[in-house]
Formats: sequence, structure tokens, C-alpha cells
Amino acid sequence: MSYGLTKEEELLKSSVADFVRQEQSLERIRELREDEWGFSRDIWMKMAELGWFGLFFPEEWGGFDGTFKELVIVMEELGKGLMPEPFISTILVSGNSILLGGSEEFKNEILPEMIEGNLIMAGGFAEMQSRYYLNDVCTVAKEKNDDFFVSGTKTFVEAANSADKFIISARTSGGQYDDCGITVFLIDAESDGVSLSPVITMDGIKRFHVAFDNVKVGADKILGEKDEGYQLIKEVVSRSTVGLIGEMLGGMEQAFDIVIKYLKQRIQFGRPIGSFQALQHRCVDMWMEIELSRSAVLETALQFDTNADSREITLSIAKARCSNAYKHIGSEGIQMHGAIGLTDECDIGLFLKRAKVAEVTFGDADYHYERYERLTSAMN
Amino acid sequence: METDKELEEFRLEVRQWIRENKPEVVGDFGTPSYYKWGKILYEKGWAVPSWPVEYGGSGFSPQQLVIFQQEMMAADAPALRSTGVNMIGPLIMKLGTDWQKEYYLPKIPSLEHFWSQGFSEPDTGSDLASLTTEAVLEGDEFVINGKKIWTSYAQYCNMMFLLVRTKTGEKKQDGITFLLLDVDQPGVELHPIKLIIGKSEFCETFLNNARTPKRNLLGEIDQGWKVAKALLANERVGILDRPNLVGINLDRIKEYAKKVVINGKSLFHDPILRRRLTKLEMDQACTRFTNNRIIAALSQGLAPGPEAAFAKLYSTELGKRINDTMMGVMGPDSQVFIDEKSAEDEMEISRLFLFAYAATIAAGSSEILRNIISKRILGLPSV
Repeated sequence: MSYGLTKEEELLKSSVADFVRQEQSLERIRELREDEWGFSRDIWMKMAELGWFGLFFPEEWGGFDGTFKELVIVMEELGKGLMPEPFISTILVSGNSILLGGSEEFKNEILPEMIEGNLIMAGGFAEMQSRYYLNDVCTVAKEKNDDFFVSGTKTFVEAANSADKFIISARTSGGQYDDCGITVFLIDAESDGVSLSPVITMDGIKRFHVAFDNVKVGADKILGEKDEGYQLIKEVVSRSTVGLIGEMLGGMEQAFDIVIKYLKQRIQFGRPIGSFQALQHRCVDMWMEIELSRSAVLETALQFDTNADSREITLSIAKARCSNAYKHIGSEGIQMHGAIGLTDECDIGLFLKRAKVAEVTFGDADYHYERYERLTSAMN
Repeated sequence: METDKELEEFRLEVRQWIRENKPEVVGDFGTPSYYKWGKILYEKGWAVPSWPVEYGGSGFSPQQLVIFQQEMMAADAPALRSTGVNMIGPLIMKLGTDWQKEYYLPKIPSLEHFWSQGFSEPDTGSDLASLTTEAVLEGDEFVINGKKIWTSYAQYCNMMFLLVRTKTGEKKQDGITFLLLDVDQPGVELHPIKLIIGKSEFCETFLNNARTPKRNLLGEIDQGWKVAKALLANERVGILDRPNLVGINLDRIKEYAKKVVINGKSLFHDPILRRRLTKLEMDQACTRFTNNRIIAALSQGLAPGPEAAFAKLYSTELGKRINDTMMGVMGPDSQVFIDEKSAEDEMEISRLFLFAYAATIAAGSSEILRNIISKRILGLPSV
């Protein structure tokens, strides 16, 4: 365990960086707005071939037993390119749900297919009213004989229209806010009673509200234990958040790079605007936020790798910091660009939009302050 | 490299030794308890732990050094003054003559020499290179005339390293020379400056035909600016070792709040205070994580890069916010300035609050550090 990168980690970092440079121009983000899937299947398969989907999964299902540190290395580079492929929804949320909650049969059937890129899954734990609280579940699953009948709506589900399977939380007992009584189901996308309504979101990634109307699911499609799903989805979302903050770190670095380049090249009053101290000092504050975020992301990954007692606390520190920092870089970036920063052709706006979506994914800064307070008072 | 087990044993050994040997209270430089503690460290061979063994260092590995510093911090045990240990000492090792090394270095751990820093002048603050104190070589001696200011603790020091002008060139950075000076002489007069905290930490130093032999020239004549720049990076790291300069311990705020009931409600359970503390704790945690990165880079033999300027800038600004929060928690009691009950070596919160401003001004003000980072790291153009 170390803060610096090993040779292998350096190699991984540069291979992802090379790939992003080759395959991704930010122009693709604009083109994909019109695309049905919102991402490229071709690039998805290439990512699979490079082995990145298996990086964090055990060898027995075709993975490489990687570390969280490697996860953030990959995510940081993907984040620099604003890669729209549904890595978090399919690999992190859904893949971890199967890994941690699936039977041996499910793992054998699903994980190798997912790792090879053939299977797209979408995780849906959020609802209209739940904001970031995974225990707030109104979607119900009623048990009849050996089947369950699921009714309710999951919100902002990424890549739902390309997904073969959904992984969702539903209430099998207890009240709306109870930790107990939540069950996680694996549902075929083609089941009767599933309908999608597209939601156009700021970053251009395809998201859907997915409605379940009395959808029949067999009892054998439960992940983890019945009524005990809360622990499972908490762990899945924590792991996925480690990936997300890695992505956010990469995004803010790239956005900052764009800003600095612009300040060096834009001439006003006969000199580059980057020579004005009013802007320079604000840039230094932006840079410090990135460095603090980098420290927090790295520390989180290392603590997840050693399963440290404080890992969840550190995760909240990091997500709160990255949420504020990414937004800050994007917002200052637009201001420093001036009017051109408001245009769609200028790249900086893409980053602010992604920052705002990433901020409200898995909890914004206010949520994580509150979560930190809960976790630290439990420890004291 | 040591195994984890060996490092843990080392940690316990250091902890136990400090517990058994440190006086209960160790005051700031100038108080009797400070000298007593310094002598104990010297006799143990731990006065200048980071130095090479030949000059009195402890021979610790980088990991052991980190552990040693962590244990000292945790026990509120101050290290010897940074001005000698981290600033002029290493500089003499790097650039000094054999005579300078042999004569000056051993006198730092043995407490024979205490060094002050003569850089700033009344008209030369952040624009350090515009200094005008003049030195003229007469025979084998430099004769120095001018005024230095903010010479920290100069009243307790017997040596000073200073920047003087030996030539007026086109560029103000040219013609500056770095000299070592014995201050126990008639040409040097010290006037302590009373600060807003009520004490005198700094002096104004008058140099009227002060003399120093030519062998006290460090580096080359007229090339002192380069020497000074190397020194300032060390000064910034040194500031972080001083708890008084980076804000009080956040636990102190909580302990205080636990005892306060405002209009029937416990302040400790006030959600607004809790949220303020959460944000401060998170900020502090992120600086700790950044320090871990710096330590990792150091132990791999990499030089601490921009992180030193960054750590100083962020931590000292954070320190002011922390102290201000403590003042708010104390409410009306925060205005108490000199408390009769407080021990001689202790500072009241109100004085710590005021003193923390020194940290964001000394060793490169926050604004100067932003200039440096903007130019050297971000590569933004100068005017």
C-alpha cells in the first residue's frame, strides 16, 4: 500500500490515457446527444477487450483481482475524457451487486458475460422522493406463492434503454424509511410491465425513469437475502462512489487544464489575461482544491484496499470535497472564459455540466456532511 | 527498510522516552523550560534528528523520522527551533565552507548558538529583493549598515544570518550577499517590537558599522538571492511544525462546547456548530492526506515539490478559521486577553487567535505564495 504509483500502476494509467486520447474527442459528447444509446458500443467492446471491466473482479469469473487504487487510476483517466460509456452503472453498481449478492449460479452466468462486454446492466436504487437515502424505498414487491410482483418507479437510471437486466431495490416488508425490509432483485429488461421514460439530463448521458407495473419476478432472482438488501446496496454504492470520485478528479484536472491554456492564449488589454493577478490567485485556489481532492481520493482508495475502519468516513470526506471542487473548477472556468464560455462549442461548459450531475450522484456535499456526522458520532 | 513491526517498536520506544523525559510544560523559545527540554534532546542525540549523523543527526530512516515527528507532535513536545535546525543548518551543510561546517554546525544542537533571520527591512516586506542594508568589504571584514525588522526572537539569539546589498545592479536580485553575523557586538542594537498579542516575538535590528569576518560569507558574493530562495522553501515546511501557527486542536473546541449551555440548550449539540466543525475537520483531514503524499514522496527520495508552498498556504489559512471558530464558541469569554490564572508558558485563545495572523504573513505571505505557485507551477505569464 503506497501513495506513489508502482510501475504496473503507471503502465495502467498511461494505457487508459492513451486509449482516451485515441478514442475520445469531446466532440463525441455533442454527437452522442442525438444517439439512441448515448454511448458507443464499439468503444464499450474495446474497453472490455482491454480488460478494464474485469479489473476489480475475482479471477474465477475472468477478472484480475485488482485494487481500488487501480479503479481510481482508470476512472481518473476516463473522467478526463468525459467518457459517456455506462461504466459506473453496469460495472460498478450492477457488477458489485452480483458479486456481493448473487448466488454462485448468477455469478457464473453473469460476471464473465459482463466482463467480456456482452451484457449491459443498469442499477436503480433511487426514487422520486428518496434523494440519496437508500433506505427510503416505496417500490413494493408483493409475494405470491413463489413469485414477487414489483410495482414502483426507479429514477435517473443510466443506460436503461440499452440494459439487458435491471438491479433494483424494493420493499418486501416494513415502512418507507426502514433499513430492514428492503430486497434487491435482478429483473430482465424485457419483462412485462417494465416501461421507460427518458429524462434529458445536463451531461447528455441517457437516463430514464423506469416504471415497474406489477412485474413478476421469481424468488430465485433475489440478490442477497430477502429483507436484508439494505446492507448490500450500501456496500455497492460505497464501492461505486470510490469509482465516481476518481472520475470527478480526472474531470476537474482536465477542466483546469482547459482554463489554464485559455488564460495563456487569450489576449485582452494587450496581454494574456493569465497575467492578471486577480485571475492568477483564483487559479491557485482552484489548483489547491484539485490537490486536496487528489489526496482525498487516493486516501479513500487505499483505505478501501485495506478495509480500514475509517474508510466510510474518508469516503464522505472525499465525495464532499470532490463535489464542491469539481463544481468550483467548472464554475470559475466558465467565468474566466467570459462570453465564449457560455457557448456550446466551448468545452469548459461540458465539464461544469458533468460536475453538476456527478455532484448529485451518490450524494452531494450536504448529504455527505450529514453522513460524516452520523458515522463519526457512531464511532465516538 | 524496517518491517512494520520494527517501526511499531520504534514508535513505542520514542513515545515512552518522551513520556519519561519531557518536562510537563515546555514553553516557547526564551522560556526556561524550553532550554531544559532542548538540553535533554541534545543529550539523547535527538536534537537535530533529520541531520546527517556526522553533524549530530540521529541516523533515523525516513519512516522513523516521520514517526519521531508524529510522536513529538502528539506529546506537545516542541522540536528545536526551525531557524537553526531546518534553515541555516542544512544550508551550511550544502553551501558552507569546511570551516563554517566545523565551527557552526555542532553549536546548533548543543544550544550554544541560536540563529535569527535578518531578511525583511522596514521598506522591504514581500518585495524582499529591494533590500538596502549595505555591506562593504574593508580588508578582511564586511562592515554592515542598515536596519532589519521582524527578526523573530532576536532578543534570545546570539547569531543572525542576513541578506545585505553589496552591489547596486540593473536587477535588484543581483548584488545581494548572504552573511553570517555574531550579534554580540556594539554595532548591533536590538529593539523588541510589541505586537498585537501583547508580547514581543520580533525585533527591529539596527546595524551601525556591524562587522563580520569574510569567512562568514555563505555562497558567493553578490549571489545571495539564490541562497535565500533555497532557504525560504525550508522555512515554509518549518512553520507547519508549530502548532501555534496552524490553529488549535479541534478537540479543544468540542471539549469547550460540551461545557456550554446557551439559553437552556447544549452548545455541543447545536447542529450549526456541528456542521461548522464537520467542514473544518474535513479540511484538516484533507491536509493530513496531503501530508501523507508529501511524506511518501520524501521517503522515495523525491524532493518535496510545490506541496511545501501549498501546505503552508492552505494550513495557515485554515488555522485562522479554526481559531475564529473557537473564539465564537467561547462567546463573551473570548475577549479575555491576559488571564491571571494561565500558566506563564501558555497563551490564551485570544492571543493565539491574533498570533495566527503571523503564519499567513511570515515566510511568504499567502499572496506571495499564490504568486509563486501561479508562476512556477501553473506557468501563468508574468506582467
